[in-house]
Amino acid sequence: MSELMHLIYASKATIDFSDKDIVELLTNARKNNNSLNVTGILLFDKGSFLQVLEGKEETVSNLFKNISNDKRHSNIVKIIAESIPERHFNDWSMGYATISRSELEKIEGMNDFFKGSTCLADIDKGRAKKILAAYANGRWRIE
Amino acid sequence: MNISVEYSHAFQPIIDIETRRIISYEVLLRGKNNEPPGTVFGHIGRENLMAFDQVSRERAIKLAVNLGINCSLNLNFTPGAILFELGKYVEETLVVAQQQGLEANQLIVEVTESEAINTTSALQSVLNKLRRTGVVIAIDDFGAGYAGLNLLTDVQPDLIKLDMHLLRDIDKNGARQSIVRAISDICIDLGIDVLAEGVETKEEFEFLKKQGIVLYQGYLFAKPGFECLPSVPIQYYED
Ligand SMILES: Cc1cc2nc3c(=O)[nH]c(=O)nc-3n(C[C@H](O)[C@H](O)[C@H](O)COP(=O)(O)O)c2cc1C
Repeated sequence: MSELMHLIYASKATIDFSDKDIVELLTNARKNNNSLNVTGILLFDKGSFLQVLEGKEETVSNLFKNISNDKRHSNIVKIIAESIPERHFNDWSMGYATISRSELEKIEGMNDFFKGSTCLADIDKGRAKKILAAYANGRWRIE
Repeated sequence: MNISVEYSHAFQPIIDIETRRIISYEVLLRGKNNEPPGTVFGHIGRENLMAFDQVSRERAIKLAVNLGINCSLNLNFTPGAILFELGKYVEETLVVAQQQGLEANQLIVEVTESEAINTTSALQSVLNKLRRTGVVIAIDDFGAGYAGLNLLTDVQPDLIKLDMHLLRDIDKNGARQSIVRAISDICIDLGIDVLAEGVETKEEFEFLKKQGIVLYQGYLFAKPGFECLPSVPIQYYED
């Protein structure tokens, strides 16, 4: 049996993501992650990403390799990759800093991470939560 | 193993000043009349040390449960004991804890770097395996001796305990202040909790609070209690 792990990385966007690009990325990733049984979160603020991926070790490693080859971002910095006893996220969603609350509510899979939210509070305590809190406080912005 | 020496345990509380609670008790070895640990170890041959440590930890868990513990328990392991048969001692400890009604995440495994280890990659793989069980991994005496920053490149614990020598008179010592600031900074980035251990004075405590440290253990808050679970005066919790 393959074991559960999480992998947390930060990166820098190489293109100027429009709202439409972001929604497209979100929709595709969400569909794919759902079929891979990968949970977690992707955050995007002012050109920098932070992502948590949770799932079976092999699945997460392969997906990360795939994501690392994506030309839409670069300077990929792996922060943590380790075993976990259980998942911290129920699904895979995205937080996008410069989106309004009304727009946000329309998009499936968009969370309210940057909107002073329930999202961070809902995550079980543990490493992922602490690193997300650090990101929310302006850390891990890759330049 | 035939050990005739009698021994028992003391427990020292660890507090979180944000949630205003005792989050754990560290287990400390004592003689049967509260003598320091050296008097016990003096009776145990080197070849029996690891096995004795294990029996002692298991007994401490039972004592803590009998005393009605309802938070976590910090237990010390040498790197040798962690590595022994790929984590067998930790797994056995976990079994005993669960038999006693504790959850895996109530066990805080303190790795005490009492010896130089050139096996951090082996330690890394065993700790990663243990992480799956849900136990919490702490590095003791961080910033002293062998437990330095380079350790964090291989092993990212859930918690580090700052070495008490780093904290002594920290309110008056610039070098110690800047080292503790740097360590705290790293720990925020890597999602590691920082615990200040061996805090003795109000001034040390005030300085560390300003640094944003929320986990504490030390004489200022409570001395280890022999065969009991001491409480902490309410005044030390943040208001
Ligand atoms: C910052 C960032 C995060 C991404 N996250 C995911 C993800 O979680 N899951 C996913 O399937 N694709 C993700 N992608 C997209 C992948 O890199 C890739 O485009 C997608 O998996 C489709 O790959 P394929 O065309 O080889 O099937 C992400 C891309 C970027 C730029």
